[in-house]
This record gives sequence, C-alpha cells and structure tokens, in this order.
Amino acid sequence: MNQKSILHWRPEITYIIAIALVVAIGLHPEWLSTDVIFNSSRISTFKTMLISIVLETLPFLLLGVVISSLMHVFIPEAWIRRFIPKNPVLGILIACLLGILFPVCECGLIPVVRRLMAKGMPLYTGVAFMLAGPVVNPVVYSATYVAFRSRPELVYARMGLAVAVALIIGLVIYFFVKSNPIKDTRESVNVGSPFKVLRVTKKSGRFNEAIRHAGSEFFDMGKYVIIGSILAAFIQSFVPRSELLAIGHGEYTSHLFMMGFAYFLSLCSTSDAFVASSFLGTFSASSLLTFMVFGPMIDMKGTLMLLSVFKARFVVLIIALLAVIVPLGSLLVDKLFW
Amino acid sequence: MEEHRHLTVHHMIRAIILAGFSFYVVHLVKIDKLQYYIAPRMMPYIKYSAVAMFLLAAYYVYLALQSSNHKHHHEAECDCGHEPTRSWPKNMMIYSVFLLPLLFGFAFPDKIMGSDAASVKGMNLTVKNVQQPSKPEPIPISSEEVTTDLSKPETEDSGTVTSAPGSTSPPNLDDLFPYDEYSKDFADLGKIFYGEDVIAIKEDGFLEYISTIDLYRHNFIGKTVVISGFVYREDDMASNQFVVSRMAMSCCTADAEPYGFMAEWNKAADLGKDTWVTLTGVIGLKKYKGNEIIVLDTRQVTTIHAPKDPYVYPYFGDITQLEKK
Repeated sequence: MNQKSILHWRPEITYIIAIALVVAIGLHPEWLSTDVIFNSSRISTFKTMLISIVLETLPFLLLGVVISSLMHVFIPEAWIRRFIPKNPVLGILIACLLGILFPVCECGLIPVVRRLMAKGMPLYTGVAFMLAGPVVNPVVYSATYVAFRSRPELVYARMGLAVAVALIIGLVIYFFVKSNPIKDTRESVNVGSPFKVLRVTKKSGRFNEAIRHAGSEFFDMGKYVIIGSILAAFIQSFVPRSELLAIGHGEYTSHLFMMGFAYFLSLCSTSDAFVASSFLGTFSASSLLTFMVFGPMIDMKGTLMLLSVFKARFVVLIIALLAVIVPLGSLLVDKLFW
Repeated sequence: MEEHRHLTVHHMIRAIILAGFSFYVVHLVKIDKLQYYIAPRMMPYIKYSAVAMFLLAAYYVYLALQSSNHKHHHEAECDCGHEPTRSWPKNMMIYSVFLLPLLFGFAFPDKIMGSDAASVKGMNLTVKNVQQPSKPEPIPISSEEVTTDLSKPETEDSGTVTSAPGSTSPPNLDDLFPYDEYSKDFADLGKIFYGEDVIAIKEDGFLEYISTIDLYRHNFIGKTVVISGFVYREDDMASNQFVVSRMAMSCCTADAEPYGFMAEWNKAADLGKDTWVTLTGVIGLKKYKGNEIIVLDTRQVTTIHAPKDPYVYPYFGDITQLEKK
C-alpha cells in the first residue's frame, strides 16, 4: 500500500465509523440522555417539520428517479420526438396534459423532464411540462377542491392559469431561447455519447443499469431536495407567520408577498391549497391564486434542482418570467372573471 | 484498483444511508408515531418508499461486494456522468446532507405539534374558508338572500352575546341556515346540530364541525358544545382565556394549521400550555382582534391523554353523515 492510498483510506474509514455511530445511537437513544438540550421548543418544531417534509418527499422523489431511469434505459433515443407535434402551441398543450399522467410533485418531475429532453423532447415542451405538471393533475385538483370546497372558482382558475402560464413561458422559450441551456457538467446527461455502444444489451443487464441509474439520480437530486427541505423547515419553525403577514396586504403587494411566501415555504403542490385556504379571510382570492400557481412551479427546492440541470442564466430567466406572468395572470382573472 | 475501492466506499455509504431511512420509517411505524409527521392517507406511500429504499440499499451492498471483487470490469460503467466526484470535502458535504435528517430523526424526541407550532403558524379562531352567507335575523321573518361578499363578518357586537335566538313560533330552519350551492353541506349539518341539545365535536370531520358552527354561529348561541384539544394561549389573552385547539393537517406537518375555539374559565390558570382537555361549554360570541369569534363559557373540563393520532384531517365524505352515526 503506497502512501497515497493510505491517505485515501483513513478519512473514509473514519467516516463510515461516524455513520455507524449514528445508527447505533439511533438504536439505543438512551445513550443520549441529555433531554434538556434537545427539548428546546423551536428545535422540536424544526425537527418535526424537517422529518415530515423529507419523508413526504421521498415517495415522489423515488418515483421520479425510477421513471426517469427506466426511460433512460428502455426508451430509445429520439423516440419521444416522434410523438410531440411540431406545432409549438399544440406541443405545449400536450405537455400540460402529460401532467395528468404523472401526478408527481416537482421533486420527482425534474429528473423525468431531464430524461425526456435527453430522449428528444424539445426544450420548450419540457419546460412547459415541468411547470404545468405539478399543478395540472388529479391529485392536486382534488386537494384544492377539498380545501376550497366553497370557492370552486379558485380550483378552476388554478388549473387554467397554470396551463396559460406554461403556454406563455413555453412559447417565449420557443421563440427566444436559442442556445442549449442544459448544463454540460458531468452531472448532466450525455446525449449521443460514443460510449453507448458498450452498453450491455441483455435484459437483466439493462435492468441492472436502470437501478444503478435510479440510485445515482436519487442521490444527485436528493441532496437538493433535502437542502431545500432544511431551509423550508427552518422558515416554518423559526419565522412566525404573523410577522410576515404584516407585510403584504395591498392589492398588488399581496401578490409579491404571496410569491415570496410560496417560494420560501416550498410546499408540495398537493398540500399548499390547505395552507392557502387558511388565508382566505386575510388575503384576496387572486393573491391566493398567485400563491397556488407560483409555488408548485418554482420554490427553494425546485430552484436548487433546476440549477443542477440547467445553466444559472436560464433558471433566472424562468423565475423572472414566472414572477411577472403569474401575478399578472391572477390579476387578470380577478378583473375579468370575478 | 483505486477506482474500484473508491466506488466500493460510495456504494457502502449509500447503502447505509438508504438503509438508515428505511429503518427510520420502520422505527416510526413500530413506535406508532408516524402519524406525528405524515397524514394517514399519505402513510402507505411512505411505507412503500421505505421498502424501495431497503431494496436499493441491498442492491448497493451487492454492488459494493461486486466492485470489491473486481469482477465487473467488463461491464460498461454507466456513461451518463453519474459517477460520484473524487473530491473528498464535496463528498463529505453531500453525504452529510443526507445524514442530517436521519440524525435529527433518531436523536430528537418525537413530539406532537402543539402550542409552539401554533404560535408560529398563527391560530385560526374563526373559519374563514367558507363563504359567509348573510347573517339571518335572530327572529326569522322572511327568507334571506345569500350574499357573495367575502368581507369580514360585520362587527356589530361588542362584548359577549349570550341571548339565544328566541321566538314563540318554531323558527324556519331554512331561514336560519341560508346557503348557496357551496355551503349547502354545512347548512344541512347545521340544521341537524340545531335540533340537538349538546353538540359533541368529533375528531372525524373536526374541521367541518367547527366550520359549520362558526358559519352559523348566531344560531348556536346558548348551545352546549363538547370539544377536545390542546390548550393554547396567545400573549394578549386574559388569564381566564385560552383556546382548545387541534392541528389540522392535509398531507404533512408543513401544511398543518391550528384551529380551535376560545374558551373562558375561572380556573384557566390551572391548565398548562399543551395540556389535552375535553371541555364542555356554552357558545357565546366575543370580539377578538377585530373579529367576531365564538367563545365557550366553560362548564366542565377534563384533562385527557393526548390521542394516539393528535391531528385532524379534512373530511372527504358527505359531512351530513357524520352526525347520523
């Protein structure tokens, strides 16, 4: 064993020992008898929030990476391209409807979209799918319906506005974004790589590859999901909402506030309706609409994940477009229909 | 060689992390505390993912053993850029991120969300997510028109109203409970309540119960109500005031909202924060922080153990069936 490999090994062993310690303590929590320190109330709330958010995200994240990996291995290159109509408007509308088939929250959706784009889905369609998907699906529909039982106009408006926003942004990308914004770091998908010929073609070999892929993607995306969850849990437990509420009450500032609120809370699209409904008395219906359309499309967790897939400039573009179009859309809905 | 060993370690670490999450979920289920974090309707999905993660962990162990045997060099590495980085600090940080929730999960006690969470989220003392039909006259004369105005309820009262709606002729229920197509369910439930002497608020449909009572609060003045929840106080409440509240959750604690009724009791100071009680009280009204809310004039308080599932959830069925049991 040369000098280099000793150095290479020791920190790793220490690391594994540290992990083992955590697991051991987990199995024998009485070893940590310092109940006093761990009882601080805010930390308690933080822990509850963190565990809850992380646990709740896991199924969707797993589903997303599994679907993405299966597609990576079993769907041939450019297969998708045949199914997307050339007409951009039609393509985007179909992408929005795809959301109905994939009731996955945004954490699971981003790996899938990345994979679809590698298989030939054009950028503008992929982005439209990514934006509309978390909103336009039956799970979110029913969750919104139950939360706003007496205000169904909010349910319909949410779906409609999401499709409209996805359409507009998709078209903007179609017409104005000419360079490929997918990051060419080692983490992004290599399309048309020469190594593809080495791929094992046996069924079991491909299945193996799918699982390995899923695992890698789980850890790639998972780290952003967890960081986002930590931030969201922090805000949920340490920042009293009453102080936030004092800020945004004006007809237009309430939309700004709701966007920031949705962004930092990083709620799942299946449950943000419930939170929004508790604000019915204090905020205008259209600002709640902004909350419920902006939130699922972009938030802290989502931004982190997007930054791992796309170049920063593109992510900023998307956020800027959303920040302008969503509130405008909500205000329009308010003026025209309500 | 170097490459294989490097990968082996990654596979082992990943296996341990995945197994850790999987065991954590199993642990929560075994100590029956999963509902502290996840709503019951979401629990199956969490359990499936625990299984999936366990399988993935087993697979990583298999990979680790394989790569340490150098047998796989003829299998093409996945070329899509998913190899873990070589940078040591980066790897440590990445895996630490995964370990952090596990650490918190195992190291910190499992606590029911109570007053601390409620004070951050803000207590809901009046249920505003149902459209308010126009308030009926205490003595109904003719049918009311339903307004679609969402403005806060008119604050014409100051102080507590204790008079019951009395009239010599039996009141017309439809006049007392005006509704539009969206609040019909609440109106129907309210009519059932109106005929009862004591309204026992159940856990199943808790939100819908208190919504109904709050929506038609003027009809229920003087009625007795039994409600269970934890004690919550805000700083500016009087010493005889507190709230009996429950955390309502849709799918996870991040979206949980506290709801409850304010109660007044001369022995309120005996009740510590987050004590679980079953309270019997008579409905009255009061102005609090600019809103007209229900206040219970307490008749009886029993302390209880926190229920196994301390949270309440939106009721997806027909709410009028709730009282027919």
